[in-house]
Amino acid sequence: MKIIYHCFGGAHSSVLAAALHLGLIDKKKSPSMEELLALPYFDKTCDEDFGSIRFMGIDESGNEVYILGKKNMGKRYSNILLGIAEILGAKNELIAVDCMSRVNLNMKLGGFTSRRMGMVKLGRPVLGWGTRATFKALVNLAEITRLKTMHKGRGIK
Amino acid sequence: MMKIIFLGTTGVHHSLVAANIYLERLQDNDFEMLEGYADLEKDNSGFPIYVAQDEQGNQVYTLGAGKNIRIGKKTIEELVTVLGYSSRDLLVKPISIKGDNILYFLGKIPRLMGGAYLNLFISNYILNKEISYIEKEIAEFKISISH
Repeated sequence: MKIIYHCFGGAHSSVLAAALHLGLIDKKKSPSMEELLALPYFDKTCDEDFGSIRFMGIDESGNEVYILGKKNMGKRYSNILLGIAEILGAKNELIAVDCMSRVNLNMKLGGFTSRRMGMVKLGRPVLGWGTRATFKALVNLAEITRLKTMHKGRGIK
Repeated sequence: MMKIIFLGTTGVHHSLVAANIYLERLQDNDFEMLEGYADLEKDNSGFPIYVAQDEQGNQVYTLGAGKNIRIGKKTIEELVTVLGYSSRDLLVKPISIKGDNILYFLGKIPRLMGGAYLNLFISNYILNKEISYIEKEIAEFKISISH
């Protein structure tokens, strides 16, 4: 099964949620900025990456985990993804997870300053505060998704 | 048989007209006779809207991707690959016309402020102006998929 975590830029909340799902980061303690920056794609995307489905890894159940930046395409994006899967006859092969409900103001401000304005030194500390503040909510989202998809990757019901 | 998706800012205006021109079902530019035309509730969910089958048995859909059609197209094409399919299974044809962002914003006008009336009036006006461009796009598209 394929799991796609999506957020505005595909650079922060979706990356962290996917990393938590894959066990790339310790879910028991809030990560430092260095740990976050060591994650693939974290705060490293550019405009051309919008709309790209990028592979993050394979989880313990054999599910493929991806991330996606959807810009301001809102809540309907999950339905677009699921609708396409449905008409292809692959509805049960896909889970789309919207991370935007877990994104706080500091993440938005820090992410915008770092990625869109290119002011990395100014944006990253704010992004770090925001990310640490919402860390537990993202752990929760990734765990719910991981448990929901456990064993489905290998076709075990 | 494949699926063909006409992608626009909404799935119920220019993309629906394009799909019906492709299916040779539009008569006398009477947009309002098209099922689902300007029906923004139908568009809001984000799911592809089934229109009909073409002569070859391909299923034709429309889809509204909001203001970022380029991003929508890219995501759909990549998703098709991720799911193990190809452009022989699903083809995306973006339809961009002048004023398509206005068509998208028509859905944001509250009904009490005349949203439904404005939606139809402005949609008809924009589409009448752009119909020859859409017809040209579809003619080229038909040639491209016949090869």
